[in-house]
This record gives sequence, structure tokens and C-alpha cells, in this order.
Amino acid sequence: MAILRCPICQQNFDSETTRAMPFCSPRCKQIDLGRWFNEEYRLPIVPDPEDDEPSESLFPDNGDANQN
Amino acid sequence: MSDEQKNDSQQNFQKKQQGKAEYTPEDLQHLSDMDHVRKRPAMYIGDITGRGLHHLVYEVVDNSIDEAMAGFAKNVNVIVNQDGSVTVEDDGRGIPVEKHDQLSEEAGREVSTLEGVMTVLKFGGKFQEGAYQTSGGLHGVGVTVVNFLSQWCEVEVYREGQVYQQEYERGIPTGPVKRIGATKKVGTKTTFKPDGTIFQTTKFIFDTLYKRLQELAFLNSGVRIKFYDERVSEGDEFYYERGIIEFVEHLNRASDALHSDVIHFEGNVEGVGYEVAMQYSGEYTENVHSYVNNIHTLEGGTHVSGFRSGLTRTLNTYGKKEGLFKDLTPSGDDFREGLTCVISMRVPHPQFEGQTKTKLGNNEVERIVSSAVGEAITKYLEENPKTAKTILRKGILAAEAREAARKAKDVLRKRKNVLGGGGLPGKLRDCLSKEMEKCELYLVEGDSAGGSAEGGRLKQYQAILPLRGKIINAYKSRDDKVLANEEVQAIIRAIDSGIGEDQDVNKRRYGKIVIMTDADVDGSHIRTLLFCFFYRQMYELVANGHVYIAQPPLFRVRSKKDTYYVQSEEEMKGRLLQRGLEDAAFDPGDGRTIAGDEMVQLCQTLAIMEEALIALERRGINLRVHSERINVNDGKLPVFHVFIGNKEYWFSNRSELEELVKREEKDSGSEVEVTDTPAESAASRNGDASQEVHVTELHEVRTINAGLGDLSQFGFDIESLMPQERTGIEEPRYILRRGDSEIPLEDLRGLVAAVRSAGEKGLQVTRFKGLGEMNAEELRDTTLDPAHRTLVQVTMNDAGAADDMFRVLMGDKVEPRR
Repeated sequence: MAILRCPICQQNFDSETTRAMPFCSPRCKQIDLGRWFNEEYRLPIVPDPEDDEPSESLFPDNGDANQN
Repeated sequence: MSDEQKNDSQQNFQKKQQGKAEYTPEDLQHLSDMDHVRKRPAMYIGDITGRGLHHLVYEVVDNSIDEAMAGFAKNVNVIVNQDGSVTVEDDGRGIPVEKHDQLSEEAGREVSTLEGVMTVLKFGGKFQEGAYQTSGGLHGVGVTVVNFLSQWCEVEVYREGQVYQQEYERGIPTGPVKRIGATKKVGTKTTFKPDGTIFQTTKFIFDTLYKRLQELAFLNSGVRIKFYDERVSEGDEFYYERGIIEFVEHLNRASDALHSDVIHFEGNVEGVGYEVAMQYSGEYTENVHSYVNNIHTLEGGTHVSGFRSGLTRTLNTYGKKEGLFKDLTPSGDDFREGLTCVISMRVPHPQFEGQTKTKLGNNEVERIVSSAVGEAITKYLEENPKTAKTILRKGILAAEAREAARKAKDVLRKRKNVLGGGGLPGKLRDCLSKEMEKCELYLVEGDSAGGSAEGGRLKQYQAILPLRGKIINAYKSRDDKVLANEEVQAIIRAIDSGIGEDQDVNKRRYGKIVIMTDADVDGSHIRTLLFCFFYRQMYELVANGHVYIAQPPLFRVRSKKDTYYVQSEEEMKGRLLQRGLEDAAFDPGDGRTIAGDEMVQLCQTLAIMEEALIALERRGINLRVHSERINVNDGKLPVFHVFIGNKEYWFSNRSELEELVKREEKDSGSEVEVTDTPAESAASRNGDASQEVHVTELHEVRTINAGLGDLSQFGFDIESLMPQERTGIEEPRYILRRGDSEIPLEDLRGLVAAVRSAGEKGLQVTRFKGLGEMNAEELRDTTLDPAHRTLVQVTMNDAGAADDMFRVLMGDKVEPRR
């Protein structure tokens, strides 16, 4: 038995007794599905400064790899 | 029907008409009150089933409640006797027993008021305005009807120290009202036995009476109702000081209330009294109980519709004002999800309609209730913003669920209706086999990779569904990546195991679902989105281990001899270093030559140190500056950066730190708090932080110290890692030799990279920037062909981590940051 927190309604529930893991209820699972359809689950794109200057190096992490 | 038959029936009809033609005064009769009630009982008590039977009790109890609500009685006792008769007693004023002039004159004899109440219909206090403000009872017919429909009935009145009594059989008094003794009590006690020749059943049901009597106690706060059933020796006492507030608490006793208080308001407009108590719970159903003059209005009516419109309007206005609604506005139904509510009305002249005459028809009531609810709820929401938000959020979730259910239905219907192709998504390149266990669905990032995968797949068992992350402009300066609605639908329809509640993992069309994304940030976004989607919406799929991650290579290496693929950066680096070390020799400029095993060990040491050195530099600490802080006792670089107040210390080991703390404690005479908050922020936050010791531990320096120890074995010190200013000297400091070539080096840190670089000579190394850079053949050889590929099963931990990530991200939405 584990007490989990429903990602939708934020209420605690028992993983053993719920009919809709990982949610407290089929209802909250349904709401979650609606949010997928509505494209509400978004990941912020963190701008990567290294993307600006495409490096020809095989190992962009250490820029001195190709030094001769 | 034949013509002959038609004639027959016409003749019959005419005969009947002829019989009716003689219409004489003898055909008409005036039924006495009693005869009419006994011939047409349904007109007075609804019906003659159990429902009507129980109604008899309520009629009598209603009289006692009226007396209590008028302030004259406090207690009502209801007893079901062993013989099935019922006794109702109150401690009110007692029905008057004196001679009633009007009745006596009509009857030509002395008639007691009590006898009038018991035997004359439409006789009593209820019909005079002012006697009772509003009274209960379905038809206001009262105890008279009960008497008429009883086999026998007995009334005792306790009044002015005397007990008066009268008995009736089937409504007819067996004698006049008699004084039978003295008493200290006041009130009225009525006992009656329903007439079995009229009712289909005369058996009272314990639970039915229990429930109604409790309900009456809730509706009439302050009245104490005792109920006892002698047949089963069971009973209870109902007394509710807070009335319908306690009713709502009682109804919600098994549910989790969303707010601890019960919202309550009451008032009187144009003679119409209203009282409402309501509370939201976590349930999904609406639980509204409405009453008019204590009558349970099962079919609702104008008071209920007034309540609903007022509630919906008010919550919508509030939600809009507070900006709580985004795309959709909840409906009235949404706002009543989980609502437990008791509406109790006092209407002077109620009009009842509907099948069971339990629907209030008075039009004015709708307007009165609607505006009263609006006013009261608006006030409550303004005064309780936290509960307001909870209630609004509940309604918004209900609206969301309704909308989601509709969309899910659409998706599943689309799946079934599309002609040909079995309703599979258009982008899907399905496999030929229908053997689920053997089939695999590849979810491939990007259309071009999808094309290569389509060309390289094993068509019999591998299906390809290309996916793209969709970019949404979220804020001015920020873009977000999402899984587009069409992609979600395509995944659901391709896997075809249903969605939501209508889902069966065993009906999926593929044994394995394989996620194949690029090894870049975009790829990891899509992977995270898919992990979270599967974890939340296809939980069983992940739990049963049907989801996998493909491992496409990161490098292609071509040499003169062959072509091979390398999975990771670490592996590639290792291979290049190994290759570069073949016949490499290092000239440290002191006459030595380091080669062979010694060279391998040197490079390994430097490779490990390099990561630590980069980590140190990321902290903004320059190696040369740091080298000046070296501990002269143990020759090590400091690992601990310590601040006490504005004083800064560097220590290379913990015992030095401990000594400092002891010294400080001795000096200040109190305990010193050691924290790992950065010293800079602590100093700026708190001017007087002298009692706190702030310690930052530079873990990477431990690695550097260990590396320096190893380097000393080769005869190098820390200076060897730093470029030297050597003006005028043309000879390079260090030289890496490999075959005939010489590579000059300013310091040791460049050595490993130079060796790798040398190892790359003669090889054509390509780093795949994405799956799309691989052609179909390459993709098959490395990633698709079960004989060569590596699949990694997605664990519940992996998927759960993605779920966590979205919880954190969506957390912003629940409690917006200020």
C-alpha cells in the first residue's frame, strides 16, 4: 500500500484501492487525458547558448579537442 | 373491424346514451365530508399505498410541528404501538375543548372545538392568516382526514390542568368530549389505527418513519422529536439546534468535504421565507434536497431552479472576475458536482404540480430565491477567497472532465468510422503481421527519420509512426514543446487498446512500443512527453514492461578497413584515446621519454583530472589562483571554502575546519552554527552573520588532489598543468611524438586531447546530429534489426520521473507565482 498524491486534484489516495493508477479516480485520469488533447503538457525549451555557434568538434563539451 | 361489428358497437353506445338520458335529482348525491374522504382517499393523501399510509402519521406530526414552530411546543413523541397503531404526542397548547358556537348552531347540539377539529374538514387554525405563518401538511387537511381513514382514533387533550378525551370509530365520535381526570401536562396526544378496508397495507415501516422524522427535526431546528417503535423495541431522538446546517453535515458524513464550514443563509422576501445550507464534497454527484413547508419537493420546482440559476450566475461572475477560467467556462451542472445542499422554503400559498404533486409552481419564488442566492453567495465568496477558489476549481475540473470525455469519445469514434485502413492514423506505416506479440511499433522522432525507418524496417513485424514535437509560443521570451493533439490521437489509435476507462492493455496491436528519438535536447523533450503520457494514460503498458527505448548510435566511424558505429561519447573518446596511444611517446623536455604502459597510465590520470578541472573552472576558480592557496603542510589544494562573517578561509582537510569552529566557539563562548549555504548570499542577507560558519565544499578538488598525487609519480607538479610564460625560448615545453609527427604542447592538459586527435587520424568519424542523418540501411543495421540493436526497457522509475517533472511544471499553474 502506498499513499500517493493525485497529479490532478492534489488529493492523497491509496494506490491499492484506486481504479485509475496513477490517479485517484477515473475522473481525474479523464481530466488528464483532456489536457493531453489540449496540448497543456508543455516543456519549456531552455535556450542552449552552445547551439548558437555550431561546433565542428566531435566533442562540443571540451572545445580544445581539436587543437593541434 | 367489419362494418357489421361497427354497427353493433354503435348500437351499444346509443343504448348507453339512452340510459343516461333520464337525468333526475335522484342521480345526484351530496357526500358528507367523511364519506367523500373515505370514498376518494387519494384526493386527500395522495394514494392508499404505503405512501399514503405513512402520510397519516406526517399529517398528525405536522400539527405538532406547527405548534412547536409557533413557539408553543418543544417536544414531539411518536410511538408505533404493538398493534400497529400510532401515537403522536406534543407539549403544545392542546386543542381547545370548549363549545364551538358556529358548529353547535349548525349541528343543533353542543359541539366541542376538539370534535370540530377531528370531524369537520377544512376546520382549524391553519386557514386563518396569522394563526400559523406557514404550516406543513400536504393539503392542509390535517388530522380530520387521519380520523376519517382510521378504524379507530382517540384524542387526549391536556389543558388547564385537565385531561379531555374523545374516541372515534371510522371517523364517527363514539361519545362527546369527556373530562377524564387531572394532569400537570399540556399538549395533545393522538392515537390512531389506519382502516384496513381502505389501505392496501396498514404496516408502518420503521426506516421510512425514522428518516422522515429525522428530516423534520433537521428542518425545524429546536424541535425535539422522539421516535420509538414498540414492535421492534427501537427508536431514536432527533434534536438539531443548527437545523439544516446539521442536515448537510449529516448528508456529507461519509464524504470528504472540500471546505470545513457549511455555507448557510436565510431570509424572508415578500412573505416567502428561504433557508439554504450547502457544502461541496469530493464526490461527483449533485445532492440537493429541497423542501417547501416541510414537504420534500422531490420534483423540485421554482425554488430549485431559482437556486440553480443564482448559483451558476454567481460562480461564473466570480470566476470571470478573478480570471480563473481559461478556455472553457463551467456549466451549471459542473458547478453542482459534489454539491450537497438543503433548501427549505416557507411559502404561504404553495402551488404543487407534477406527477406526485411535489413540484413547486409559484413563479415569484424563482426570482426571489435566485436573487437571494446570488447576494448571499457573492458575499460568501468575497469573504472566503480560499474556499471560493476551491469551489471554482472543482467546477473547472468538472468542465474539463466533461470536455475530455467528449474528445476521447470522438477519438475512439474516428478510429471506428474511418473507411478502409481500419481507422489507423494516416501517418502510420503498419506492419504486415497481425501477431501482436511479435509486432513492434516504433515511435520515431521527425519525418525524415521516419522515412529512413520506414525504408529500413523489417516490414513483417515493425510498424513506424513518425512523431514531431510541436513548438508553442508560451510567453514573449519562451517557447514550449508539446505533444500535438494529432500525435496523441495517432498514438492512441495506432496502439488501439482504448483510452480512459475503456482500455485493455491486452488488446494492443503491438507487443512492444519502441520510442526512438535523437540524442539531443529535442529528443529528450519528446521522450519525456511520451514517458509521461504512457505513465499516466497507458499505465499498464509501462507497468507490464511493454515500452522500450531504441539506442541509435551517436557516431559512425569509417576506416580503410571497415565501418563501425559507436553508441556514446564516452565510448568514442575511449576508443580514440586507445588508438592514439598506439606508438605514442611523450617528451616532457627533461631528457625522459614516457611511452608504453607508463604513457597509458599518464593519459588515464589526465583524462580523469580534466573533468574535475573543468568543474573547478565552472565555479569561476582559476587553477593558477587556486594553486597559490596550496596547503604548505600537506601540499594539497584547499577543498573547503569557509566564511565567518567577512573573514574568508581555505582548508584542504576537515580537521582544519573543525579546529577553526572550536576556536570560534571558545572565543565567542557559544555554539557556532555551521551551514552549507553559500557564504556570499549569507553575508549579503545578514550583516551580523558572525556566529555562522558558511562552508562550501569543492568536491572536484579532491579528484584534482588525487590526480596531483598520481602525477608526482611521473615527476610532474601542478605547474605542468598551467601554461608557462617563457619569453625568448623557442623550444616547445612538451612534445607528443607519434611516428614521425611531433605535436608541441604548452601544458599537460592538452595531452589527452592531442592523443585523441592523433587517434582520429586516418578515420572518418561522423557524429550523427539526428536520426535523420542515418540512411535506411544504417538505421536497420544499428537500431531496428533485432539481431544487432539494443533496446532498453522503460522502467516505472523512468516514466515516474517524467510524471514528476510535469507535476513540478504544472505546479505553477495550480498556485501561480506572484
